[in-house]
Amino acid sequence: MFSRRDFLKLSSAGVAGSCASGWFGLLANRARAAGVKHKSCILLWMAGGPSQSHTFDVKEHSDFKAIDTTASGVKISEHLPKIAEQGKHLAILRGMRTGDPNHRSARYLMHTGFRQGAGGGVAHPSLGAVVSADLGRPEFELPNFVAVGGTEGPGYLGPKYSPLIVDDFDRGLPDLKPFSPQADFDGRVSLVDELDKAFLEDYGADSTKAHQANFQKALALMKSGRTKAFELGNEPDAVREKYGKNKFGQGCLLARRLVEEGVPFVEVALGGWDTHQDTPKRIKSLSATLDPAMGALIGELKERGLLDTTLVIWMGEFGRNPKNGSQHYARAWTTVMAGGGVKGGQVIGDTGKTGEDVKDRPISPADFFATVLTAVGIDPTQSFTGRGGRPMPKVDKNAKAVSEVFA
Amino acid sequence: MEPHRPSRADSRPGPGPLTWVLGLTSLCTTGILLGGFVLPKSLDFAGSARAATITPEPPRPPAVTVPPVQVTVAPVVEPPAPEPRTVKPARKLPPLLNPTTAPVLPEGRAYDLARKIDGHIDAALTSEKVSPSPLASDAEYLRRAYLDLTGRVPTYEKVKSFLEDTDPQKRPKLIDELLASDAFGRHFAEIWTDTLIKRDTDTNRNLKTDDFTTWMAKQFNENRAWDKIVVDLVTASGKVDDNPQTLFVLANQDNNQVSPSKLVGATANLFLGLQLQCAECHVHPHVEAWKQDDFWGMAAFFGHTKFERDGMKPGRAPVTEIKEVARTAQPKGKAARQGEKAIPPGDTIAIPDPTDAKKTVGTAKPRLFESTKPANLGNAVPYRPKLATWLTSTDNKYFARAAVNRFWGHFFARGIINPVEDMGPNSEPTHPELLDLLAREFVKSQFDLKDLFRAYCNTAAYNRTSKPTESNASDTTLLSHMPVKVIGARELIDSLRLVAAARSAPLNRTEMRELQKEMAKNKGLNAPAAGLRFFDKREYEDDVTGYSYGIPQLLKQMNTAMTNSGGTVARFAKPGRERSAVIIDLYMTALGRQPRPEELERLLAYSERKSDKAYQDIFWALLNSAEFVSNH
Repeated sequence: MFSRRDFLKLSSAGVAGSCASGWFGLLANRARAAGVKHKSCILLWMAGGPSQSHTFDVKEHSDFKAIDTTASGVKISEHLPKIAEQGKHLAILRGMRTGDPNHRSARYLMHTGFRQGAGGGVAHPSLGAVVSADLGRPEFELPNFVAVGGTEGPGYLGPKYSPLIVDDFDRGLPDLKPFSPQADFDGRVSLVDELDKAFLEDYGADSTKAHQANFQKALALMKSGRTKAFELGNEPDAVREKYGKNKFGQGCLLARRLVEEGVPFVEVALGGWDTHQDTPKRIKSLSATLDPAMGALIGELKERGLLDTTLVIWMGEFGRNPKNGSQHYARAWTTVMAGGGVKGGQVIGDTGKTGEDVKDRPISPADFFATVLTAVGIDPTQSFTGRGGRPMPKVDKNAKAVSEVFA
Repeated sequence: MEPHRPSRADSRPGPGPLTWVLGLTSLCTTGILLGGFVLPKSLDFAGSARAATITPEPPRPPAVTVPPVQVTVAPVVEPPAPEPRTVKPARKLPPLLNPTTAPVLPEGRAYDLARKIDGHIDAALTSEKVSPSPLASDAEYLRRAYLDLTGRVPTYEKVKSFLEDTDPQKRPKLIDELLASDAFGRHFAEIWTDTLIKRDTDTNRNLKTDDFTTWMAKQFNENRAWDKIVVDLVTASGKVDDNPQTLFVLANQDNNQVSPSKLVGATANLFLGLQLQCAECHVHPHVEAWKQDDFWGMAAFFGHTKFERDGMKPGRAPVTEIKEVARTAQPKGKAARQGEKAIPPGDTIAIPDPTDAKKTVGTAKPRLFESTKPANLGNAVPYRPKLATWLTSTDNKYFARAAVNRFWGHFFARGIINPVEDMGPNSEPTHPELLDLLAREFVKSQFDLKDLFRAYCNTAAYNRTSKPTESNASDTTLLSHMPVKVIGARELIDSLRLVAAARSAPLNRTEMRELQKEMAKNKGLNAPAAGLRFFDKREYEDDVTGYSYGIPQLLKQMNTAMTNSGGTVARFAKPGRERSAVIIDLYMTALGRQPRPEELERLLAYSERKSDKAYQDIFWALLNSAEFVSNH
């Protein structure tokens, strides 16, 4: 019998991976020509597993009807009219085949591109951490990775690349003002600094370094004038209304503001897609939240000239069974990309009449992640350096970016 | 890719000559006590932290009676004669307490086990040529034991009395005291409540958990045998209001009904330490021997457990009762339309199609895991007691191992097999024979949890400091030094509340409820539920040595009323008191220890510049330090 380690070795040995560097080079040149410092990425995370047959892969037998979009021949759910207006910017990937129908492990898989436990149990960084490690600037006062709602952690990249998680942003970031006068506060901070240095020297724990790093980031944030980006009250009411006055809608607006400020990665979560019961009713209601927010986000990014440098991703941890959307389904499902150099107005992959399986162009999680990294300007064939100088691949070695996305 | 694991080729624990007694004598020479200090030349904490180990007097030779080893410890030592100084005149510091009392273990089964555990750990250290760190100071041990056993830091009063106590048995006595406290059961009950709920946060978010936590706390506090507790959880039936242990079944539901497959997954993870759920839809990816039939054979034992609800809308009304319903006739109506008609009456369970829950891909008969024969339960429900009997039987080779390993992970930051829920045939224990020993002894003790914990907390390994030495700093698996754990959200908030209010005891339940009501509108740390949610980002973080607090949480901790209120400072900063006495008290309150001389020196200098306002600054800094959130 194979041990798990043998198994992992075998599965990664197989075919030597051909890489996506060709596409990477092309896009990098395009970006350089446009004078862009770095790209940004906004991940719209549909927690619970959104039903593709009620959103972006509507079938004849589906509960909902399909409507035309601004891209010819591309149809999506009737309950997503504002997104349909942005159809010419969308690349709809209907051939996702990821094989993991469990919330927790699939959430990990679709945040990191690796199966949980792969690589000898190492904790892989989530996409936000990868992007902020690669594109973020250390001197930047705002966090390089912001999440509205939850996300996955930075894994082996460490707490330096932890997300700033925002749960309530009506009044900007909370708790930014010290209780004590500034002079006293500086004294207090210097004491913490000394305490932590001594504690680190004695105990040498990584968690202490993490605490120090976070403490410094928190202080930088308290002092920064750029935290105004978090104050949505500065936006005209009409704009706030356009995105939808709910956490997801306002999160998308925040994402646009942060990207304008130079934040490389923002994740905004919309939960409730685990629709085991009342599927059509619940997805109709979720669509009413999703549609104005995602429509406005892509529209405004375009208007402000940011869409070419900002990749927007819409996805969950898996899709749902094509018949009625009541069950988890990872064999054939859909994700959507827009912006960031992605060729819009197209559908990639096909799940046929029933939607039960991918008939054309299946996309593995690793391929998907190679595509995403390529789009934001990160070479997916390169590795991070892990503990002890060990190379840690950014995506699985056999991954191949989906070239049609950039065609 | 190769996993990070130290090579442990052929390390076999010896027959056990290297036991606690030997370990102890060697420790006596290094760390009896550090009572008085010489002032360091530098005022920088970091630079001189290591210099603080100057011992003014040669340690008294321990009075050894064999057996057991007897060590006499005097915690307070005269201040040393001042050394000649070149930099600046000495500030007169009061004597500072930092005793390290080598524990003397009483007679008893748990202590015998503790010695045997150390035999295995020491053997592995020897064979890997890693030398252990010395004994933890009394303060380090006290705070560690409090956090691990009760989920809170010790009170000021406790720190003071413990540091002053000269009883060489004070450590084993402390463990007994904590195991006998109500806070012990409550802490472990809270951990188990979280464990059950977090397996499926989305579905379980609205479950009421208070009654379960209270029930579970009672089980731990009364030291009910682990097998009996698990039987109660797995077989829970009847009215939900009268049977809080039903939370185990309630926390494993799908489509508003009991989920046999989630129950198998939870049972295997929590009580067998196995990842059986990977065999739900296919042959297990890592263990070929585990087939879909093995999974569904187990699921059949849960196949007739059903929720009963009051009210017209069955999917919405709260579950009121859990029942086992025998199926004696062919299904009718909706059930039949959904494909159930293919299932014969009795104990058979349908295996749903993973692609469409309304279809089935076959049926399974109940069969105990790794058994070759079907269980043949017939129509005589309930079925779960038969499963529970097998699960907790002393013949079950997984049950005791899973328990001792899971609880080991609680105290030592990682299981002997890690992760603790993945103890399948391909897993690699760091100390294989130790795991066997613990499982054997746990069975022999009739699953006595307090005795197990007593053994763990009295090992030399648990008594060691978390300070690594130069030679063992890279060790993460051999327990050459205790890992530094990051305290969880609950521990952090409870500890902050305790410390910032400088109370002599944690809030009792009534006080807690009062506080909850009072603070319901306040979104700060004082509102327990809101505070917990705010701090708790650990849903997906299993490694207790990992730091997962984010910037918003830090901002909250820094800039909230609780850490800025003057209550604690006012308690100690009475007019006319020596500054150093106030600072020492603040240290004992916040960090459970007295300052090192160079720390006191530095803070006295700070407070001279800033007068009494300095106390609030110092207290705030202690609460926001990395040390405060560390269990070391």
